Amino acid sequence: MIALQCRECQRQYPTDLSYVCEECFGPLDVVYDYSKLVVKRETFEDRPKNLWRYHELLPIEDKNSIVDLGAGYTPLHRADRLAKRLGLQNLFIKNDTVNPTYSFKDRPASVAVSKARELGLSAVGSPSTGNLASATAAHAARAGLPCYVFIPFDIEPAKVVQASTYGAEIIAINGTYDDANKLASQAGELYNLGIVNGNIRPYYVEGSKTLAFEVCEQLGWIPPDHVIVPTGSGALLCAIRKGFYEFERLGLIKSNEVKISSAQPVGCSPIVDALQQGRTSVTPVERPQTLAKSLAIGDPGDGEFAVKNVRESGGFGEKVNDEELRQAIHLLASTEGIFAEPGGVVSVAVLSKLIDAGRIDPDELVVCYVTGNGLKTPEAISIEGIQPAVVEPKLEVLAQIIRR
Amino acid sequence: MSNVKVVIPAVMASATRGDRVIEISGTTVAEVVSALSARYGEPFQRRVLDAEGKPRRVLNLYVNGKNVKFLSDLETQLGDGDELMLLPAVSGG
Repeated sequence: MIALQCRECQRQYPTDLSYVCEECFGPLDVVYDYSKLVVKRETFEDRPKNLWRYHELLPIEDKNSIVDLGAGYTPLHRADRLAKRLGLQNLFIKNDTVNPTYSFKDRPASVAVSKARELGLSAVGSPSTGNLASATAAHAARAGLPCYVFIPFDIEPAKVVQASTYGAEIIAINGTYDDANKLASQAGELYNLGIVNGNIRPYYVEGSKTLAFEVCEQLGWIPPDHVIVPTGSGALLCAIRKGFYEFERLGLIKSNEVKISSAQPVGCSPIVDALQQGRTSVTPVERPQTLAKSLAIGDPGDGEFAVKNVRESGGFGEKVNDEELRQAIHLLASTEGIFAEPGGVVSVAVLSKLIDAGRIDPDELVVCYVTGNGLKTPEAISIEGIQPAVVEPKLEVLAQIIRR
Repeated sequence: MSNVKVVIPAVMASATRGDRVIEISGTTVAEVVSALSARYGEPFQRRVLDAEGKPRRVLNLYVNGKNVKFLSDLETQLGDGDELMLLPAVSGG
């Protein structure tokens, strides 16, 4: 890491607690001197199976600062049964439901809390639609730092219980994610909190690009043809594109022609709407209404950058409704044994729709990022129909049930 | 004209010569932004407005805590004692 650089005007800053360009207010990103980074495929061979195996490409100077719960290097699951059902030949699920707090957010949270420690901050926090709350809280607990999370009041109860149990102070806002985000931003400045996706955001987003690194490594250093990314703020999608770019730049993969498609739920699809309507600007959604609450970000901070990245990569934007999300949860669980939450499975639901629209060739190597665990949102699944009938413990009752 | 309080976060105070709380007059967001541009000149204007005179995508404007994107953008009306706040448009879900 050499500097922070403004995404708009390219002005550079030292790697401290900065996140906005003084010159133009553009967002700052971490930049590296790739010509001085000496990494080969073999460099990573004997390293621990977590995201810190790529530490040369993560923005932490001192390894003693690292706060690690083992996030990352999750299974890349060859999904032949689901592929057959959908009419594909090469489908993989990047199963990020099995991270330490059961969502991909452990990746950026691990990097951000590490950076907070390196910068000497005495407390951290985050606005969250749910998953980041737990990821931040767990890593803060591991680091021994107080943690304050700002959530919309109506997120899934399991996510509140989880974050609270890690010891975080839960600030439930009578409003949307955007309201929580605004308050957290003000609190960061007023109370000198490290807001992982606010004033530490340049470092935070770096954690998510490991989702691109791992897919390449797990495919034998060959990038996929097409990836489908659940999209809320757009930060994950932009980070994944950066990850593929960096591996190509460093010669770890031969070429990077990965198509990146954005998956959003109907009811909060500002990025997909811009893509489908041919716009560069993103029109915010004031009151998101969707089963996929983890993606209910009406005014996505990286929205326009995500739109640009999807277009440049040759990918698509597609959205699905609540019923399609429920069907995708059941489909993924019953064909592949992976239980995902609505916001995490939106990629699978969108894949099905893109295939129906003829936008994916049957022989493309497709990776769906599945980013959150179904146990976080049990209420998302229709409870009727899965409550078993209670029977007497007698062998004869089985004749009615086990029909073979 | 309404008397309005404008709140600027530390990371954006480069546009207002370090001023963080500013009393200024105007009946719409556009009028207040225009008055701020007159007071703080080009360094304010180029950071806050794009070439078409619209608020740049990298920041959000809030009137009494509500994003003007969900009100009437620059035409949002302001009354005496209202607060206009600027914040960077960043979020990470």
